[in-house]
Amino acid sequence: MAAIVDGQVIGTWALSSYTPFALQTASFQVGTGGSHVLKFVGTASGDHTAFVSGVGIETAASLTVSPSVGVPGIGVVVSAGGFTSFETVNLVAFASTPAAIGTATADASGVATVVGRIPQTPFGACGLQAVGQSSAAVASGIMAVRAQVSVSPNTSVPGDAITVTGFGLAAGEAVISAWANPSTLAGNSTADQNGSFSFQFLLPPSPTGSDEVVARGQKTGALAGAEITVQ
Amino acid sequence: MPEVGAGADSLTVVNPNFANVAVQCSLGYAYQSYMGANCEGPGNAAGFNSSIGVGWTFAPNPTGSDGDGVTDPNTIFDPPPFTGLPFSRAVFLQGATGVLGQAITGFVPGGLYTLTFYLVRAMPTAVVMATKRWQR
Repeated sequence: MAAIVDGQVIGTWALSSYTPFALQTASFQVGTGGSHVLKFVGTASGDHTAFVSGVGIETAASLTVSPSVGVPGIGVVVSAGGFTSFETVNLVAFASTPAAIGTATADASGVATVVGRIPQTPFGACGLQAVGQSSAAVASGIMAVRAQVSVSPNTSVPGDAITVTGFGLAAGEAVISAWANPSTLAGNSTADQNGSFSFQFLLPPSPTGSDEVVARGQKTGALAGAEITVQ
Repeated sequence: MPEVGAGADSLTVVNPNFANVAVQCSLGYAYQSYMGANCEGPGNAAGFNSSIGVGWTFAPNPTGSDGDGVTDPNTIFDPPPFTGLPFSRAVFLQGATGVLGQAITGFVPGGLYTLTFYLVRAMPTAVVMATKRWQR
């Protein structure tokens, strides 16, 4: 059985005997930020069937980000040390494409606190890297990304056209959106490379009061909703 | 919410324990469906790729031998006990046509990462039985 990242084998495991489940590890490094494809591939037939479960990818974060979980567009505060006193530190987010999102000056002890805004980025995590401009010192970390939906307008009457915009789904993921009451399909969409989508639907006859559009990514299962007041 | 594996020091893996999607077939295991095959046949298959929250992409296998799929404990494959482990379902990979993939986000350039997973080989006789059922 082999584990592969972007077509490069990062580990192989011979399956020569029947044993209990055992935790396996493989270290690897990536050259670019953003998204990479992990694959598990069988290498032998018949009685060499492999069973796999409990998959994780660990990293050593060297910066702290607050909040640690958020939606695309959210403001974050990143703190990291190890820089030269008073040097400029640039913060880069690795979403579908790298984006510079903030700059700060390290304090006398080499600690920088950088404020930035997470760009449009797919479901999962957004990689963050703070880089000292003169020292080239690097601190890295992640913010977990969840889905979000917004609607416009958010107060409407039946028959109005509602624009639904979603963020933080997986790139290329099919998204099904539903109006809650009465339960009705609002729209089928496909998220773009940033995990974003948008569509319009006509508000169906509905009881007055608060109601909701709920979008669900079909691959990730990511769920997000937005409230509409029906008049 | 569907199961995702994530933390301050870990990237998000959707459905890391294969718990988001039920096997559905009464035998407790199923191969990834090819050309509309289902629990009734041919083989013993389910459409995992189209299941909400599956996260992974299973390679459909047109050859009728080997392939990939999901199993519960105590199936015809006879996997070792899952007792005490952080999962109660596992994927199986047979031969070069057994391929499972997922796009993972949040990497940074030059970053060092450690892939972790639990692995075991099936009981030979159990897999032969399951494979024969698939090849009917």
